[in-house]
Amino acid sequence: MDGQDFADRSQLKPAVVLTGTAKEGSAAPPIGLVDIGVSDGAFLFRVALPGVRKDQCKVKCEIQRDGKVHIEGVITGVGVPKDSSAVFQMKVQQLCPPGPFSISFNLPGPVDPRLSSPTFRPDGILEVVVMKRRTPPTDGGLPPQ
Amino acid sequence: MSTAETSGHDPNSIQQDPKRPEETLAPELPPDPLLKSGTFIAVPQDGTTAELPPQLRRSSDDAAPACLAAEKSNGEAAPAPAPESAASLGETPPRRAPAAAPDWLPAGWTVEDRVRSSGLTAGTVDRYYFHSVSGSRFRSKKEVLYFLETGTKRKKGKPSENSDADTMEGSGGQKQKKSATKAKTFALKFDFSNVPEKVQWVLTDFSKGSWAPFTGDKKVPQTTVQEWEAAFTAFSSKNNGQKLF
Repeated sequence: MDGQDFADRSQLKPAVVLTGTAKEGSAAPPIGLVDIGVSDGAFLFRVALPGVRKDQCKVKCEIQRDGKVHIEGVITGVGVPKDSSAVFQMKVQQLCPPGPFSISFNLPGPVDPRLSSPTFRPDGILEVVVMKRRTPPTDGGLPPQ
Repeated sequence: MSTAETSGHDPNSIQQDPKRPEETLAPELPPDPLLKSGTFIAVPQDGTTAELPPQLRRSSDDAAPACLAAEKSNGEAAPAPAPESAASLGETPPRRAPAAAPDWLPAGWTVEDRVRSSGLTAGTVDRYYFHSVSGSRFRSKKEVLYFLETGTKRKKGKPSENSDADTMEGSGGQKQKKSATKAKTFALKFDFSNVPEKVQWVLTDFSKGSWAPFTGDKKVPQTTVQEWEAAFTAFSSKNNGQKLF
């Protein structure tokens, strides 16, 4: 496995595609920064989603078996503070403006998208562990005797 | 095991062959008169069983739990006892007879019919299935199928308790043990070769931080999600310190 090589390469040239509001908020803590890690059996990725509200973001994380990851969501309620019903007219808007966004990138290898555990951390990082795809089953294929 | 469906709880899926032609005690048993072209005896089909003394009509199938017979709704239970009991009418069979394996039984298994020699139920034939590799003994087809599907031996208990393992409210120690077995079973049933094209994980409950997987546009059923979780847990813990590739 050339996991380390990949990490080096990806730091040089991260192949991350941003669309929507994730692309526009250039001066803001950027949405869509990606970390990718490799272990023997799994990949880990973290995606920075600052300002994406857990309760309204409708975040979806689509994982394909060839390792392609596509994250979608919506940034809402910029003019409405948490736990308040008052609406504010935004005068300075440096954080990501409201709207839909999507983030796409590739993991370094094929995965089994069923074996995944996404977590949206309270600090605004989406952290997902997904198992590598196990080419022909070496164990667990037969009942133990 | 790789052929098993991930959601395959259905016991009927394996019982695809309703006929059990080899399941007779003695090889010299006359073939079914209905199948023999030259036969013209006008005996009704159930005539053979009607003549038998009741205690000899107990076959190994009858000795199996009642729920077993109830589950075989495909008519398998009805014809099977007739040839067996007819055979036990004839000359006394040996106490242990290696019987012909029924066709639903995979290779690596043997069947043995034992006749009870004493007691009130003397003469009753008990059928045993032996798994050659593990040496395990099974009393019924149901037990064998359960073993083939899950890789574990059935625990004694009420049949209802086994069929819906989700509602387990037992006594403390046993409950722990059972849930461990359950997780292992899920992991074993996990179909590694059949990886879906993609899975979409949607944040459903933000307060609990729970994610629901979707394949296509359909939400994955809860039982399947549990299997995935069990497999994920099993393999992420197994990955510690050992290479899988």
